[in-house]
Amino acid sequence: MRSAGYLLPALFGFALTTNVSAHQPVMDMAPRWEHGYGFQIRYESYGSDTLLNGESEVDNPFNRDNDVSITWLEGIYTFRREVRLSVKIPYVDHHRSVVQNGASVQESGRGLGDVIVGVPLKRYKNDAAATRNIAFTPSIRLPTGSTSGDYPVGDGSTDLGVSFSASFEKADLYQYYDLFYWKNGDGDRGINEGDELGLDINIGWHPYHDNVKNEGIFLMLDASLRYQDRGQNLAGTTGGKRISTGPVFVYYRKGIMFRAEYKYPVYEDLYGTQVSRGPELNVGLGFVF
Amino acid sequence: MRVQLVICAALLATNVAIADQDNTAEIVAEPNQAVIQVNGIVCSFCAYGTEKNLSKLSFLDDSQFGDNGVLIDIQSQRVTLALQPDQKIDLAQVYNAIKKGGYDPVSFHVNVRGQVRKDGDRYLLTSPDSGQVFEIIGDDAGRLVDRGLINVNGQVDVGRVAALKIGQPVPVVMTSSATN
Repeated sequence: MRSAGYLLPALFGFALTTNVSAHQPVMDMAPRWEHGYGFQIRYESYGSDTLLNGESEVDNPFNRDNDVSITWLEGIYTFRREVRLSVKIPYVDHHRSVVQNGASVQESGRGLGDVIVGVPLKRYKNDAAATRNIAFTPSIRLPTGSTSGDYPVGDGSTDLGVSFSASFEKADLYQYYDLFYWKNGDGDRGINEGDELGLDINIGWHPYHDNVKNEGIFLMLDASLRYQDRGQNLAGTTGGKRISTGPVFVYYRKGIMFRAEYKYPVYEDLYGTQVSRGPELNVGLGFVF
Repeated sequence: MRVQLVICAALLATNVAIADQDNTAEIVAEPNQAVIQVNGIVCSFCAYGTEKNLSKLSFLDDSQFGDNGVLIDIQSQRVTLALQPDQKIDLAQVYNAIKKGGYDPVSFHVNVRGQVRKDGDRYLLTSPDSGQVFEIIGDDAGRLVDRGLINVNGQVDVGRVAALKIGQPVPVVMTSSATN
């Protein structure tokens, strides 16, 4: 029962937990070596023109929509395998249609978003045919993004996060569980995004690997569960529940990793009337040294 | 979603069964190679730092295994090093390279070639190429004396590897030998 005893508390034993974002190999699998470092450029895109009231899709006569693109520059430094420092810098380019005075209005914003700094603290255990770790990651999201404009790229608040994660890996199987919580502070201009609780699960298969070339492929299934307290931004109410899932493809060769992920919301229950988050695409290219 | 939860539960249960698999089948190193059994080395992307650390060692033959003399087999969790026959192996450096890479070496296996002589109550094998000296340990070690060049397969105690100094005889527990 040693494995279960190790993983289950990480999954269910902690009431409030947090992380920076969903699983990203450059930030988790590697670099696990002393004085290793890496960076990843990741493009994230999501959006929709589906209007929801609670769980129900409703008419959208003003064609309200939301379209978000974020390019992340993510870096990590490993002091030793148990102690790391991560920085995630977003460049946001988004636009939406909202209703003002009975008419549809286009809003947009572009620029540096809120930078996230995390300190993953890990504990590893290496077995004969497997490796596993649990991690505690305190994080802070800094108000580096501008809050000006009709669709600001920042909210002006300093947010604190914490996550507990567990991963388990053998040569052909990968599992990752990440339970996180963000305490979102009060922002500028009345923006107050609600606190967020989430669970990410990655189950992966390693179908191909070449020992000599140090090249391989991971295929994963990602499931993401989110709950966000009712909040407010310039477009109206925020918050609700969401479950999304989809496939992840990872190719690596030596210190280079490519990752593509597609997630689709299979369940949403939003506060008030909001535009669905919609399907999400993540494409990343990472390097470790 | 229910299906995914069932899959997750099944995979968690699988953890219990696979966590402590014994992967210590007898290992025989080829001539001019060292093989290290390493716990946890199941992902080569994650082990890139270990490979990089090892590839910097001066006694590796970087014409082997691609371009760096290091082969990491994630199925067997073994690291094989191609060695230059005329260079002394520093196993303490190998140990540290793997540890700093985030993994735990559990056994070191070597194939050493040379002539065995008796030195007090010890049996010492000296490589004619590198001049490195190995202490051959085993009940049959005495029969290797004065038999000319021979190859000895054996294991170096992982508990002693980190403290080995270059120039000191490397203790090798003999598992087999062959006349060259």
